Amino acid sequence: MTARTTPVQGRPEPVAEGAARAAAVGLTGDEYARVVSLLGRAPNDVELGLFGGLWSEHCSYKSSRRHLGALPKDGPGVVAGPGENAGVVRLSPRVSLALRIESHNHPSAVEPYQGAATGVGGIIRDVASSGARPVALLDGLRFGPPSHARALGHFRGVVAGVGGYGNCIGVPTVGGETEFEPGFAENPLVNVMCLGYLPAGRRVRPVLGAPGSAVLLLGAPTGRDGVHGASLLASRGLVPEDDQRPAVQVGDPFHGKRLLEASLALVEAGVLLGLTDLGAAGLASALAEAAARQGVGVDVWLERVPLREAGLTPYEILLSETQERMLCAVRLDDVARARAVARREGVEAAEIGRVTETGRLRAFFREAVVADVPVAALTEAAPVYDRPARDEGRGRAADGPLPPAGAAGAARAGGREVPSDADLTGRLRAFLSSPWLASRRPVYRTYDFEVQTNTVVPPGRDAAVLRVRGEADGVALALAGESRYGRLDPRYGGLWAFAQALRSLACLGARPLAAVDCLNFASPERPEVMGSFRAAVAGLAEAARALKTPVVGGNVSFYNETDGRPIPPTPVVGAVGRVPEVAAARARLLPESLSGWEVWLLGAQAASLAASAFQFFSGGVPHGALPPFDLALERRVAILVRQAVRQGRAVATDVGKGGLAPALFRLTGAAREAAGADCDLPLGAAGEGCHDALTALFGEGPSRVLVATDEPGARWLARAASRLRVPLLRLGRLSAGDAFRIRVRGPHGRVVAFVDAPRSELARAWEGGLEGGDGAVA
Amino acid sequence: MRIGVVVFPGSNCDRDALSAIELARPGCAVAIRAEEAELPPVDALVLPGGFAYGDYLRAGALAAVAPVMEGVRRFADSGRPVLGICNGFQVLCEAGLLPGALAPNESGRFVCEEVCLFVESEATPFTAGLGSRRLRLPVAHAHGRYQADAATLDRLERNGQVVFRYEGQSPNGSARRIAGVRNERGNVLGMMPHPERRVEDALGGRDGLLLFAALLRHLEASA
Repeated sequence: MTARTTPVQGRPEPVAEGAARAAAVGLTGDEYARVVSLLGRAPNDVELGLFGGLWSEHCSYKSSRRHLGALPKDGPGVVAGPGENAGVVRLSPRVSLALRIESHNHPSAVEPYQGAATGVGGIIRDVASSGARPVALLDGLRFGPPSHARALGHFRGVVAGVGGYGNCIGVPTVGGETEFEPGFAENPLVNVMCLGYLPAGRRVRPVLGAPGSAVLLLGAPTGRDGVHGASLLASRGLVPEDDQRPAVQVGDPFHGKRLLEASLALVEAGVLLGLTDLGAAGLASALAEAAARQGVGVDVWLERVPLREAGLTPYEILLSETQERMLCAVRLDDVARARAVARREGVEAAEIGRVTETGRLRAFFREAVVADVPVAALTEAAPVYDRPARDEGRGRAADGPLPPAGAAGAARAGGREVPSDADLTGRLRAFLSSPWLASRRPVYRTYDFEVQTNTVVPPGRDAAVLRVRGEADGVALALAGESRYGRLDPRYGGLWAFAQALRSLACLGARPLAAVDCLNFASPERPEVMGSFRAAVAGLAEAARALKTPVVGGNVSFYNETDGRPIPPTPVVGAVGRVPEVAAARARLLPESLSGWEVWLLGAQAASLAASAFQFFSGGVPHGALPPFDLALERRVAILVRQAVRQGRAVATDVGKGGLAPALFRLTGAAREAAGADCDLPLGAAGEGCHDALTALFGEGPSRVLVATDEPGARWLARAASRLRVPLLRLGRLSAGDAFRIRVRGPHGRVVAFVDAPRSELARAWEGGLEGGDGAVA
Repeated sequence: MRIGVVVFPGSNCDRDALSAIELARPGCAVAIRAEEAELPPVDALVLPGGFAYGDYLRAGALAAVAPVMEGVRRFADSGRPVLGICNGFQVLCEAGLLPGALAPNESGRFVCEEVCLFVESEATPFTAGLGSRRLRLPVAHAHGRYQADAATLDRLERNGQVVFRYEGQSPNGSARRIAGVRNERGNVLGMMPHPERRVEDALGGRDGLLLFAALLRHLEASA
């Protein structure tokens, strides 16, 4: 891309030429006309580039904005909500938590290692720019089945990239999800969430201060990498044969670490008027968005921007997405001090601009004005679309019509035939070792999950728990995405993602404080995608209100499709909660042994194989009726579980993906010493929908938690459950032996099917699932 | 009594080491920046984990020539205690203060997990009195496969310079399952596992605290 140095006055031009110029920066002809009308003239190439970046879907949220208002963002303790560097919520009178989530899907599809690494780097800088020290990462990863060569490449590259950046910069990766599902083979999802701690009184905003303030650019010299990352790579579908690697940024965690320390040193020195990360659309969006928040203007002298190589054009300097850069504003007489503080951490701070009263973003290059546009035109005046949305309705798969009732899939996975017992045990073993359920340890052991020494409960449980130095209360963190049920009912997917993230917190005894969401969808220009987006957001909003948890930040990633093949609708929710008396929590949450403890199922007992992991695993097309979702019950279950865990009366795991049999298997491994299991699943009594052995063992449904408890605990549970009107069912016991037994009982207690295997044998299959064969991480 | 922790650009376990030392003895931990050519007055040094200078070139290679290393070398030569943890171990090997080298893990991947260690030598200020112990400590590294030629390994074994050995299979493919070695004199110790990560029950145990407590006993005895 060359920058014509068209004079700012511009010139009239034919409509066709305007549309062609617009397309080169990802804008439509109509949007181009809007630019011309806002400016009162044709933009020059640099200015058009600014609009291309700022008006991109990625930066402007033009298709999603009018739907996001449905999400509740206020709650007790919320200090900062969406639109800031990070959401901030109060943990104690002394400490607040900063959290944010972002997607880096397309860069990871094109260049998995760097795409994931720079996603991690970016989210760390976002949290740091709120004045918080980043203390934990969670990642929500979705790939195609590992048998698919491209998906395997994505998986390996992304996992290496997450670890490569996070391990080096010294922020532990303590949790998340790694999922393998049809629908993501070409367009993987890489969502990254970061948590930071900051002093409760601190507030650092992405602003520039009063007119006259100096604007400093911190960090790495600017190169040509990532020009058009926001406007083209992130805001269009993927085209496989189109080599978009030059649009992917390259990360350097060492530089990131120095920049992190420099930023925090500047915050602590008290010299900053504002601080913001340079992310999508680089300098252009950082300047414009920060100026817009206070209605000021800004002049920037592009020749003062340190460059990695000579010869970058003004266009490239403004739109480069070179990593490891931050923008800050300081008073003029603090410039020298700020530069000295940064330099002590090995970071250069270049004074590149001045805040003005003009309300305009003016860019100069060697004395010449190369861009001069109203800040508001780039930001507030960005188009907002009410795109046509069509509800596909409940029961329709997003990626294709349903097979007729009674088709092969039903017979294989949803039918009522009862397979032989050998079959059931074998199927459980195969299911546990499949990419659907196999242990994620081969993934998380490549992440440093203990650096900074705050990790109380490491990865492997429903949620991670961290301590906060000097505080009695700790923090639980969980991340949950949903991409299966949304194929049948996108609203249900939204409900599920939100409720599951909170249920995961409850399983570690935590009360939710705040959540963030990352919405991954295909092109918003398709009415059925827009319909599923609207429905999923509605589901998230309903759940957030019912579960009384504010959404303090989020991200929307559209255009996740390849050659017109969309990904399934995928909302991902990250949540943080408070764990009281965290110092004592480890012994309670990670006990030495659970043998002899009773096993109880708490909550809803309805389950279905519709779009369940088992239905996919059995080769079925997602179909069937999803179980009812009762948010009021969901809330009561979470309260009961939280109380039971917090009082040390139970160890809990969400039934969730895979259903009861896999959940029971997980529960046997929840203590340091593995336990056996001896349980009965009564059909019918096990709930609505559980009429056959497969549904009882592998059916999924909301508001279901499996707990282990001792006898006094069981009496307490029974009383508390009746007070909270939560159904509960005793399934059996954990045992000291190695036998893993589940009997499915039909009418009159008759055993109609059973699972019986040495637990150690199931464990071997589960542990090695991702290490052997095609899915190997190695 | 003062124990210095050397902070290289890119160190990321420096705060953890400082906190662990503070827990063992409040008020005695001192951070020392790698740009400082002169060491402040300290009684022992810890080189912490991380990715010093990004570990560009080779793990520990750039840090080994940082300004502070001249002081570290003189300090070590004077016989005072120096502990290198993870990246710090790599730096000490690169600087020639310890024999051998740390190559990329056999798996080719970073590994973070708890391991069991045998303490095989009490002849260091950090392990005196721990001879019969088995320690549970975590490792977290991509370059932890200890390597040296056969003659060197034989000599280390003969001299009792192998201080820690992994129980069972090593997490990284180290020669002879070596997890930590000392210099001949015994005052310089390098180890891949992280003792500073196991100093509180709330975080999984206190085996790491034993090393810092041993160091304090040593410093008190020699004061």
